Amino acid sequence: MTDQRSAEDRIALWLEQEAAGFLPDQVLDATFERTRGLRQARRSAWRPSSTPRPIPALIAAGAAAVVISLVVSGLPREPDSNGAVIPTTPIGSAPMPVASPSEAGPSTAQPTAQPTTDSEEPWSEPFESRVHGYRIWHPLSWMPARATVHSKSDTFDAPYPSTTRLSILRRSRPADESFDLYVETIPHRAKKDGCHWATSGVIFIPLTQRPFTRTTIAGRDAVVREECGFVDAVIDVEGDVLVIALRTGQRTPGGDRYTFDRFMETLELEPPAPAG
Amino acid sequence: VDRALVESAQRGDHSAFEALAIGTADRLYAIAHLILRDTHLAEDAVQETLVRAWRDLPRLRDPGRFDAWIRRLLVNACADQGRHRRRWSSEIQILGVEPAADDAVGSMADRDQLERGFRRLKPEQRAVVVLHFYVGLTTPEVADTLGIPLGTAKSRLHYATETLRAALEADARGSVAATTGRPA
Repeated sequence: MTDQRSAEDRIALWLEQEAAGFLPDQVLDATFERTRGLRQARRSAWRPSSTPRPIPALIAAGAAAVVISLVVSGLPREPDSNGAVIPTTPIGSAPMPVASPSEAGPSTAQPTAQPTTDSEEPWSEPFESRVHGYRIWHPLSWMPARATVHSKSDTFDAPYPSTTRLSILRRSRPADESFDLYVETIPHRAKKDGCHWATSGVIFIPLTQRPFTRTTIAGRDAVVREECGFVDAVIDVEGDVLVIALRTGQRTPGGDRYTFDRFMETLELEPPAPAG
Repeated sequence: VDRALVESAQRGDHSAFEALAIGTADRLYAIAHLILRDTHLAEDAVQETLVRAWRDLPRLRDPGRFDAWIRRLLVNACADQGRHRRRWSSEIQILGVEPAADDAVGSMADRDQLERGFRRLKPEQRAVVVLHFYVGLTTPEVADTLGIPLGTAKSRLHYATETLRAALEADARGSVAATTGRPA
């Protein structure tokens, strides 16, 4: 049997041998290119309201609707907490049922997330994504991260301590698949019975899964949905789709539609750079 | 780390920040690479870490804690990268690999078995292993760096070490089996 001391020595030796050498210069160059154009946070900076303020109606409803259980049993996976993109069906699991836009049921009032942006926040020069083919404006304090490959999304992070993130990604739509059909393949953030968040216990808000609703974004046909702290949208772009997600990190049935709409008002679509 | 450099960078001196970044980048890269086991993901994690460091540096209250603070940013960035990879690619194939009989001796075997055991660990468990065994932090220092309770750091380290030790023991049994012709 391998004794403890020997095992630890071997682990340390292995890590030393496996450690990478030098960070490539181009990575540092790209990093500095980003930081030179990025303003620093202030010590007493405006705090984005990602921490939910008391919402009387939500609190009142929460007493009945929010169940905190310390015993996790058969807990479904929590909704995508990263918000990088609208997820595809996980490998090895059945696709989740999704309502199509035409199946939009009666609209029910849903508590929405507190806006991350406010009307006083100045917005920057445009952010242009050649990879995904669009231009958008964002608040000065938000940090954009540019995708360098087509498989990754551009992201815009609200300043700390907010965890709000806007993600944008262009994907090809199969030629034989209509826009509506594509939208139907997108899973819900909510489980069948509502929103689940796994923390030290389980936070659960009952919710009927919400369908995408039709809208127009940047002059194009689009669908949008608020669910479990997310606003998700898909824009029909000439054989492609632009997939957009705004994650608030707040535990609310709806999302931050105010901030989402402010972003979308500035969105302009452009032809993307060729892949590869 | 030069405290004066940190303070200058906190005041918006980009040259000072670049000097800090150049001085720490290779070490951060080594840590990220060990945690993520992927060159490109590690590069992304370091870049995200440095960008966040620049942005949030004015909020670092004690410049003397720069090293611990930036390591925490790095581990968080690695966790983000790790989540991304799990979502978009399959690591299933890694778990199914059987050890090659002729590798079952010496350091090559250690490397394979440790690699296999390491990939079974979650990013947060890998981070504890790397900070303890590679960076050389004590368990309380690891807890402080990651902002987690000492008990959590201890349990993560214990679990991770046991997993790696089990991988090494499995190799030892495989070696005996290969020598004696008996199945492991």
